[in-house]
Amino acid sequence: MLYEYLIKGRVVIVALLFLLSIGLWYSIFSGVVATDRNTGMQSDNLSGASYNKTAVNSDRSINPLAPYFVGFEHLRESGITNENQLYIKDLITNYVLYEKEKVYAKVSYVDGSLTGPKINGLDMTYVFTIGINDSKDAEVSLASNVVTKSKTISIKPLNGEKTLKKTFTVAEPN
Amino acid sequence: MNNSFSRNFVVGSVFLLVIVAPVLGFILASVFTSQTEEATLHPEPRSNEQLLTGVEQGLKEFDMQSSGDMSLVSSKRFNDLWYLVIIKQKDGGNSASNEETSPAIVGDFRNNPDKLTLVVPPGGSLQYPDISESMGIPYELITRFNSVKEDK
Repeated sequence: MLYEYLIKGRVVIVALLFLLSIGLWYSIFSGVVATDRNTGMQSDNLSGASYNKTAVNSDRSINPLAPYFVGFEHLRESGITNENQLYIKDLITNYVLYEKEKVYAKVSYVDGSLTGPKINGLDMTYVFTIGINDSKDAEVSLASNVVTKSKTISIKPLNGEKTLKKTFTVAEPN
Repeated sequence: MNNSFSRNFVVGSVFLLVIVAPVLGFILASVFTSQTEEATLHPEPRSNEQLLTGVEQGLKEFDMQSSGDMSLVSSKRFNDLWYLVIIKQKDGGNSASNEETSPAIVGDFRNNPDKLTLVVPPGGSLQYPDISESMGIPYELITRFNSVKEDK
């Protein structure tokens, strides 16, 4: 008798299983697509630095949508001052949020990509590459004027999109 | 095999469950996730009442007291996530000279209709005048904020 019911309702049963299966795969993929749910200390592919994956996905700053930076301590070791790093990270934050439209992004310094300082007149220039969410994304250059202290930072996407460039004139903290 | 469970029916069912369902699940997940991200970066505009409430609530987090007689003079939205609001506060007394107008910066990035974030309170300022130290405040807003402060 059960078998007869199965035979009669086989299309309905398959349809229900099909819908349930879609729901199951949707919940699995939505976790994968939204954010990588891994937590704890991990190694970053691009910078080679260790970072806390929990911090990338968590509510970690005043603006939780802003990117998380990995491997940028290498810039300081190579002579880029803390203040210049603040300006670089600030422009990258605006680039990631408003040009790339990515939230909770991980921005990595690409290991071995830094060149400089190159002295050109009164400008000291550094160039390096960044990646977003494990993909190489853009070339960043910093030209700081040793006399006026002004700095020009540009972010040139590797895919040929428009370069984001900004010059900052005075940097006296309040 | 019984005719009712023909080979075509079984093969078709397996194909639906093993191939089509995961593909549809992935497509739906991608579409809805991108819509969620889109909604996060482009929330609905806030009313002036909501902004004023956000400022008043945010002042508590700065350990600052609202004078109780605070009003919103104007607001301007930047990059959908940010607002420059001009707040008028009374210091006490009734004369107009006791009124103080100052700009504040409010963020709308909590994906929560009841939650705004007061980033720079009225009378406050950014530590560096031309950047927000990776908070993502648009430069146009920072320029306008500094201009309003200088005009005071």
